[in-house]
Amino acid sequence: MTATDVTDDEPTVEEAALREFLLGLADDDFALGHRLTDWVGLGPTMEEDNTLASIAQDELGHARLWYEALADRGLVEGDLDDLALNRRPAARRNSTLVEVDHDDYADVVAISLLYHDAERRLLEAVADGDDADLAGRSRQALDEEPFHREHADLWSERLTATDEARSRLEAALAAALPRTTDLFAFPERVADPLVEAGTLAVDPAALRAEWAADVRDRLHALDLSVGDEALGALDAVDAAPERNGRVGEHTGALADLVDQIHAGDDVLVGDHPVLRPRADGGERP
Amino acid sequence: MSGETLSEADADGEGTADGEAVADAGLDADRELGMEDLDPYEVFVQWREDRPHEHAEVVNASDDDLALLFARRNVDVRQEPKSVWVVPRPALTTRAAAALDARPAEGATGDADAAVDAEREPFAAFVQWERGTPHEAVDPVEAADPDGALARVARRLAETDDDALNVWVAPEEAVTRSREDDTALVPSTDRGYRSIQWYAQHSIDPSAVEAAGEDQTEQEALESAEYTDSPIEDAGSAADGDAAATADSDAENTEENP
Repeated sequence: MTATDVTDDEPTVEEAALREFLLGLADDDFALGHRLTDWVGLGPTMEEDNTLASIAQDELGHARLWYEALADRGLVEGDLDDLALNRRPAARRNSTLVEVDHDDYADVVAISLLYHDAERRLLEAVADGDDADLAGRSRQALDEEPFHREHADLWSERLTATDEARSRLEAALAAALPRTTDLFAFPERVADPLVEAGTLAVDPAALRAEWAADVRDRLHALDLSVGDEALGALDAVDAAPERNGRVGEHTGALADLVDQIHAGDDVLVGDHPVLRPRADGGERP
Repeated sequence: MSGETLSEADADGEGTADGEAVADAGLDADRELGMEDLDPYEVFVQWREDRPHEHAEVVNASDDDLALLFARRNVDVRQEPKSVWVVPRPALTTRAAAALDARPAEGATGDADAAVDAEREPFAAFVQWERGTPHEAVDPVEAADPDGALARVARRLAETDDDALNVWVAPEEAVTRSREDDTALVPSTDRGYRSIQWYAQHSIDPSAVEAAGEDQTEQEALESAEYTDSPIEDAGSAADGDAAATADSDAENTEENP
């Protein structure tokens, strides 16, 4: 959290890569956590409402883990508030899967089903890597993830119990699947230096096929039909995503999310209405 | 009289001996919310290794697995529970200890001694020892039916000369337990930021940090900075970008630092 450690020196190739990758992990967790908190008070039952809010807190906690790592290493300017709240959409590296607004509870289930498996694979790549600090943070996050996957699994099973639930889950999955193409799409300038340095035990791009096969198995096990177009997103293992959140290409949904935090279009990023003073008394960027 | 199940203790007091729900305004409302498909589950939590599971709360769920999922996050995870059990309320048979009979009830098939082993099944048992305290799990008993299980518990209470207020029993197979390696019950990340105290602590007077000296790490500065008396008011003021005016500096705390 020591923003003062940031030097004016040009970051090395590896530092730049690490920055982009960790922002990907952090921004994923932040965007999903934020979207899940939208459901507070609106969940299907009180118990599920609490459970989802708790999962949202986990995700925001994981975002903190990574924002903290970024700040500790001087890879970014600003403190945790700045990183989470005061960054423009184009500066964010989350997958487009997690930034969209949810219309239906089936969206929560569909996105969770697709995202948590991908997240686990990315975290494991870091946990198995050589950077002890980052590996430790990954293991911390991984400890909380089985519950999230269990939640997605239980709910996806239950949303196949009636025709209406099934059709809503299928529609949600059909909408979400095309946005999964950027989950592992870290550009070479990010992936290669980190694999070379041993920070990542495996190239994220190599995780995609395995993930897609797992998703396919799940859809098959639940007898869910999502249509060929959506399924195509699982086949396109090597194709470049149409819109890649990992390089800052986002949908309008992320701009809405950031606007929501900043309570209106007229408020500039950085003028967050609940901005707390920085502990070091410094100015925010 | 046989043991009264909790599910039959309807608020309207109507008998439901035939198992049919009595229609009333409350049930209609439940139906509208889809709640009629949900069962209440009693949640038992073990807070410490050396303590038994104790009744903590109720969750409503459609099935055992979802009930356990909810229970694991609807209990206070900040207290790091060791284990969580859920029991569907209809599976529980409850009886006031005063009405307990160490002998099987007349005509009951639950004479545990008479029943052949094959007919017996394990029952989880929960005892309320004092008014105002939760039911606590005691060692399970084996019996052919709930009456037999209650009789077994009664006999054990008589043997140990323990006073109890109320006893619940449920077939063990109705109890759904969290796994021993359940990482969901143990917070792995710092959850301090989730409390209002954290925000109070982090809304600090920048001048206090400055006064603390440059050698101090930020974390030390945060720890030595004063909690404000009124976190909510403080947060509101911080929103105006004027936190410095509201967060009091604490001379005593800064004295610790050279």
